[in-house]
Amino acid sequence: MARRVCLVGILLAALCAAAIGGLMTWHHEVQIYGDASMQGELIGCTTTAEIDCDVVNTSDYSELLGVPIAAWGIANYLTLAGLAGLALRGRAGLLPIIASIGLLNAGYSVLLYWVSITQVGSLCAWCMRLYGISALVPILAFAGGAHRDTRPTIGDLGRLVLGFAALASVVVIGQRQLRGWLLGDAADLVVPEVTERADEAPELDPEGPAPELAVNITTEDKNPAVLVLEPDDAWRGSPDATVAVVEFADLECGYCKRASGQLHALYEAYGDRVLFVFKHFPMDPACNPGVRNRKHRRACLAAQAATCAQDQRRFWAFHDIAFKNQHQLEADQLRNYAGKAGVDLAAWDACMASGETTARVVADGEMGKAIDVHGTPRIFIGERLYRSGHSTKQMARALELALGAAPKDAAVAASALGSTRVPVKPIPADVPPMQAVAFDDLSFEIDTFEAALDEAGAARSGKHEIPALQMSWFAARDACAAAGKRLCSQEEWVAACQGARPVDDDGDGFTGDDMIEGTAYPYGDYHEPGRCWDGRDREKHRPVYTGELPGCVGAAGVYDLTGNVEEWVGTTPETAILMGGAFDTSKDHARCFRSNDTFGPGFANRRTGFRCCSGR
Amino acid sequence: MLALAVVGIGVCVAAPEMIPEGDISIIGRTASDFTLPLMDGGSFSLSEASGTPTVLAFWASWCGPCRKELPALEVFSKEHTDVTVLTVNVDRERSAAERFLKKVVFDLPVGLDHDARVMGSYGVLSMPTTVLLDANGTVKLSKIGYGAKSGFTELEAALAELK
Repeated sequence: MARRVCLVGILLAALCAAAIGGLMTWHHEVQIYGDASMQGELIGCTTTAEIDCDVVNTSDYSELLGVPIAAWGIANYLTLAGLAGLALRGRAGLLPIIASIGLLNAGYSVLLYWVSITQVGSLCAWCMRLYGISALVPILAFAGGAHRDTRPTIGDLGRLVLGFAALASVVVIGQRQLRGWLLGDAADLVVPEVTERADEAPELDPEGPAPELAVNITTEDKNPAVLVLEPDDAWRGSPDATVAVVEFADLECGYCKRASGQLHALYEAYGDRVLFVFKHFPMDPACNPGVRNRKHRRACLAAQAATCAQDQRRFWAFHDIAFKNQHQLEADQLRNYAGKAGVDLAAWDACMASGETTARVVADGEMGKAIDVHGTPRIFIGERLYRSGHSTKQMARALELALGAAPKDAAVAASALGSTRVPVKPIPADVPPMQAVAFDDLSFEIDTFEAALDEAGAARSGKHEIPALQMSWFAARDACAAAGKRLCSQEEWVAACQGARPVDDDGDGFTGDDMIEGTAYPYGDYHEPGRCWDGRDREKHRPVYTGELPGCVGAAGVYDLTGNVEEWVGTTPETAILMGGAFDTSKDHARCFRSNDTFGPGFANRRTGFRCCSGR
Repeated sequence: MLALAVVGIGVCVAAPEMIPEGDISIIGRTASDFTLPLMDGGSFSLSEASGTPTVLAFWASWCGPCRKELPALEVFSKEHTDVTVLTVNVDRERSAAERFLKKVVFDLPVGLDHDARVMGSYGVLSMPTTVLLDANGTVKLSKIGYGAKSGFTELEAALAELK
């Protein structure tokens, strides 16, 4: 009897899960390829700070082999339902199969939950319900006697695979039909060109006031409102555009920093047709009537600094530098960034002292408050508040729709933009143990990988070595000397990591606390999960072998500079400092400008290693 | 189904290979001798304390829990007169330790490990860390953190095992 009850429970749970899979597949396809009229908040998934089905179900992780995971789920759960049905009819040997599949599903659910939390940053309510069902099925299977049942035959397993393959084929064909119906005929579409992001000299902002535009929108609180663009807004793109991308942002907000990279890519692709506007929304009531609590201490000052740079047509240059150096926005640092952005500092100083631009920042805050902006970033694309995942592809699709493209064309054009990430290439088999690095008068060689120790205790650099751990600066210095090398200076290490010659802006002899001249991470300006071995749990994880992550590399061809083990640099005990963070360092800190000088040069533990340099 | 799951997990995880666990614990190892200058003058050598259990309490001026731990350690020391207790300051600058000691008062010797060599020899990860050595200089406990509620429960237990 218990067996029968459990099997009925499995059957119902699996059918329910298959239905959820169908709903999620529909949602995935419609959100990405459908008409705006079909979209909207998914029923049963009210958006909160933690929950957002739109973001999760359209993320880069929502597909497997080009098919929505939810669609694979339909075939999976229908197979389970079929097995439960056959078992109910008396077929022996099926409960162990159901239990095994259930356990695999439960494990896969844990993995997807982890991906949602750590990689996507949001949870999906319907996915959570599926995780619950995945956990329930093996429990019911064992409660029904899976461990006592007859073992399945090879024939049973063969029929199972064939059955699943047949179901999966039907589901995938159906999903392709749905996508085809949503896309229609997408032939002969002209896709926008994307310019590679490159190091460029700061450009001047476009001349003249921002085009005056009033956009009818629906706010975050579902109220109709008018978003008004003012002549003194920071803008770029097409002044004749009828469609604007308006960002409410805070220069100290981490999510705004990431969005700025994606908006930059969008601007490069659509700048000839679309107006891009930046409105300040500092998370500090001192200069923003739209917020109640002070979340960002330097946001007002940074906003004022940006408006003063704007007066000299250097807003966007300043904006890019300030976002990149978001971790240090003190007054003297902002002044330095203004200088790097090309402003006349005397005029900028006068502007900052007068405080005359503060009113503009306050006005932006009032505009945001009037249209229910509650946080940052808030991005309006045309008449819609952009709510999907923050990927260039998704933003491009929303922009294409705002420009009047048919959904089919919007999806294809957006997919052409794709990812702005630098592709990961395998480490060449003949990768040298050291890489030559040269920037102007700074030239040296640096170990390609974190140093390991040979039998004699000398440092060596190579792929798939165990990086030396428990290394103090003294021990690292001696190991490099035994190999005929020396420890790197901080200047050299930072140069190899950021791909540019570092400048000691404040003249304190250290370059790890100054403006980022190159990239914040070896591979780019924004953290990419999985690129380097960082953000791991100290209790559960350990360092990895050298060169395990081929994507953790910069332009200099040097691997593992950030994450894995902290690396001693400095040519004297007084300048000894650890760089790059270790495997347990958070993503915001495991970067080229992570300097750890908390302890003296004798500091050593299972997180401290090194690499050597030579030359000069 | 199995193949799909394996492929799916393989595609999504592809976990980098971590190095072998190895023996990174210092428990059971014999501590090497060291000599540290003391804040109040003189010096402390570990070899001089051999024959009695020794507690090394590593602390830094910026460490919040250390503010509660060190006065409590003084009480612990008075209750265990047969145990040698040395607090080890690991700030890079002596002045930082001096500022801390003006605010946090306790009557225990303070060793100055500005270059962190002693700290490094015990593989200390973070502050505060308390290390217990037995009378032969073998490391019996290395405990990170201090909670006012739990106090020195683990230290007391490890000490009891020595007796």
